[in-house]
Amino acid sequence: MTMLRRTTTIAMMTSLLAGCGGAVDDDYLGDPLMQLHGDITNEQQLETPPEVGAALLWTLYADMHMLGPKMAAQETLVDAEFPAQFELSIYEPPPEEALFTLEELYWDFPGVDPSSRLAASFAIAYADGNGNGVVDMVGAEDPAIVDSVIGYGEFYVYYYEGDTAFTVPETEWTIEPGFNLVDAYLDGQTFIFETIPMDTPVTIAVLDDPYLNDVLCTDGSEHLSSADMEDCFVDGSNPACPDMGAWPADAEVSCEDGDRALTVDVAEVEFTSACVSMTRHTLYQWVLEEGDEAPAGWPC
Amino acid sequence: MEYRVQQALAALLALLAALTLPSGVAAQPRRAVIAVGANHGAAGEEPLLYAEQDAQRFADLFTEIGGADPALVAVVRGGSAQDVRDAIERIATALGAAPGSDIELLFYYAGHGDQQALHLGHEQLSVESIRAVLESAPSPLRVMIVDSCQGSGASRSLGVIPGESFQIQVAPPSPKGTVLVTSASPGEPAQESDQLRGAVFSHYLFSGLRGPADVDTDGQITLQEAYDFAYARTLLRTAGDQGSLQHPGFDLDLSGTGNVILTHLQSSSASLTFDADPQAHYVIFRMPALTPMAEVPANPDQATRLALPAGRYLVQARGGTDAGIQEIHLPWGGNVAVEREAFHRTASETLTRRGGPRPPAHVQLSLGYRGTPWGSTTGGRGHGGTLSIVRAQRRIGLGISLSASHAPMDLQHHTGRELRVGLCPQLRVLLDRSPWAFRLGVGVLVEPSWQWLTHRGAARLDPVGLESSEQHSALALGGLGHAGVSLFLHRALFLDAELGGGARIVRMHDDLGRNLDVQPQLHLTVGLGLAL
Repeated sequence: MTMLRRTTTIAMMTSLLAGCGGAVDDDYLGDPLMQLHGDITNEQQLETPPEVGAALLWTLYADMHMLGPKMAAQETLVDAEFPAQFELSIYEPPPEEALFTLEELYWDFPGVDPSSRLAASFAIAYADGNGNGVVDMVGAEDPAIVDSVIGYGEFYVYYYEGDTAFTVPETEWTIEPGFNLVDAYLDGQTFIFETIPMDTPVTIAVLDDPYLNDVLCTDGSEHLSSADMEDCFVDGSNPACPDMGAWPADAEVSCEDGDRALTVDVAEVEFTSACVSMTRHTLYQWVLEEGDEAPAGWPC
Repeated sequence: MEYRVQQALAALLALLAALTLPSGVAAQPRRAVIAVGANHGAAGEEPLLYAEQDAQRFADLFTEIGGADPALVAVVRGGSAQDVRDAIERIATALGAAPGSDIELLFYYAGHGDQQALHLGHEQLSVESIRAVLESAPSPLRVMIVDSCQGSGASRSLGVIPGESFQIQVAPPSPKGTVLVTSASPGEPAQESDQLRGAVFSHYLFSGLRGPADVDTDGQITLQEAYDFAYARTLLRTAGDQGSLQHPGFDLDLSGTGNVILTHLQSSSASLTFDADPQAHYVIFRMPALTPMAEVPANPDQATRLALPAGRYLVQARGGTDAGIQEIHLPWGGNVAVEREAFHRTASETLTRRGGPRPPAHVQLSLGYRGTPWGSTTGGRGHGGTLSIVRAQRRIGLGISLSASHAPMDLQHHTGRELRVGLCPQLRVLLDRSPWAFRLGVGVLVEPSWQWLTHRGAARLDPVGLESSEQHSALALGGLGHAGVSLFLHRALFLDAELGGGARIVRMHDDLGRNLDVQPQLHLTVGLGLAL
């Protein structure tokens, strides 16, 4: 009888403890407003850093160009073994800086409140250079590149701050209030936008693209270049031109006109930073006239 | 400094009184006093409430109007047997250093005892040894007054005659020897009065010594007068109430002649005068602690002068048409006549067997504010209330407390509030040092809690239909310990403070799932209580 009573008491206490959902404390972030999950793939077998994370970046450009300046919303570290699964939990709506009225976006749709706001974001994979678990953005005050972006997701996440859903005219793209997972793809000459279920897995492909880091630039990115043309002669009479074959190894050489025209593009970086660069190109051109023999060292 | 001024004034008044003594009034002898009070007796004996206080009252009274030399006064409150021996030794040594000075020695004991010994906590002190030491002291007169719950024991072995008033047949110049006065006869329990806040016998003895026992109105209270007064009042008081009948007793071993004069009313720094009244009697309490000072019986024949130290008093009239209370300021050297028209209100009293169930707080009910300065898991300070019901039985209290506290929550993405309702059955160990009561307690905590969270971006989330509020609930189990103190403002009303802490186990709901967490608990409670 005593054993039974004791067992009953323990069972009651256990059930009482288990019966409630549980309390939360200071570390509690809340129920996610949205969750994004998927894989980071490395089909090109590119070399990847040991610390890789996934993050959602909100665009700060009104044109929502995906390579515009962004703001990180949520990050998570993933297993560097690819394909690596990730899950991003979003606990806050987009920052104010990322929200633009439809009027600012030139989205003038009948029956849609032009003052309602829209924000766009996409997922990236990044190398966590300092291992701090967050994306270190690059701006005027923090010009150093700490992390580097190695890929971005195939879908976009839109957040619509309006009362009711609307459909973009002449399309079937319906945007719901709140979070929307959007697939954008080129169909022939037309970009098609389509809202897909939020639980659709997102694939982030690791890419070899030197401009991927531009998405870290909170103040925008700008890569400028200039080009000068120099007519060269096979007899070497233009002193501004290098001797045949005596151009820098990284110069870009191209042959045209049945290998009788040679263009050597010598690029000289005049200024570069994480988000801004200036490159001066000098295009040296040689053309073999009728009857000219290709000089020694002619690469074509 | 204030004490010295009081002593100087008392000495001055005594000098003036001595200079104006009527013929036939003896000069006051110099006295030494050893007063011992022990609330706690042997194992199994119920703690007393007022014994230690009575010892102090005895010493104060004789210092005030009984000729006690402050340098020759030793009060032992709640001390060990060795403390008592040390006090006796100190006084005996002082007396030995002044041979031929005729310093009389008074020994007073209030507490538990049996046939052979006084019970001082878990120690015992032989009555015979005390008597032997006292009788070896170089004093011409030694008076022992034992107000003990087992007065029968001490009395029987000493051959005390129970239950009758006695006559001290002595003539001038002075008696020598030993007098033993006991508060109860063999087989009788001595009693404490809650309302009198002291032992009944001691209360009437002290009362009589302040004036009401002065039958011959000569301004001095003899041992005969004091005993007669205390005997009659104690018998009357205990006969008419729920306590047992109590007969004080005595033992004389005197030689020589003269009266044993215990107090001189003229030595008092102030006095109250009560008009002759056939019905009303009065109890006088000293403010602000409401310490009972004396009881003046109805006297249809003559006015009664009550010697008191200057101060503020509450005078309670009982019986007659003047039943009620009034507050009186008694200045130094003042003699204030109590105005019969100024009384209002009275209360009943409870007599309990001395050593019987503890009178106050059979059930204590307290209500208070509870703060959890560091106990909240969410950073906010909690505020709330608590209701406790505790039944005190001897030194043990069993009870339950119900508490509710509310704390703000300030999380990364949410703000909110948390409500905890705790139920805590508890066991308390009680220690009385009237008017203070201390306790240590342990208990089991059962504490459901509810949390309401609102997302900081609720104003933006609600319009788009995203959930912005959350509610969580949990049940915590734990253990708490506390230390508390109560200050009794009145027999039934007390202030209470408690500091407690412990730990609770609660199931947490976090982003990684659910798990059990052990959390510290700390609370501070202040409130008011009733002892029923």
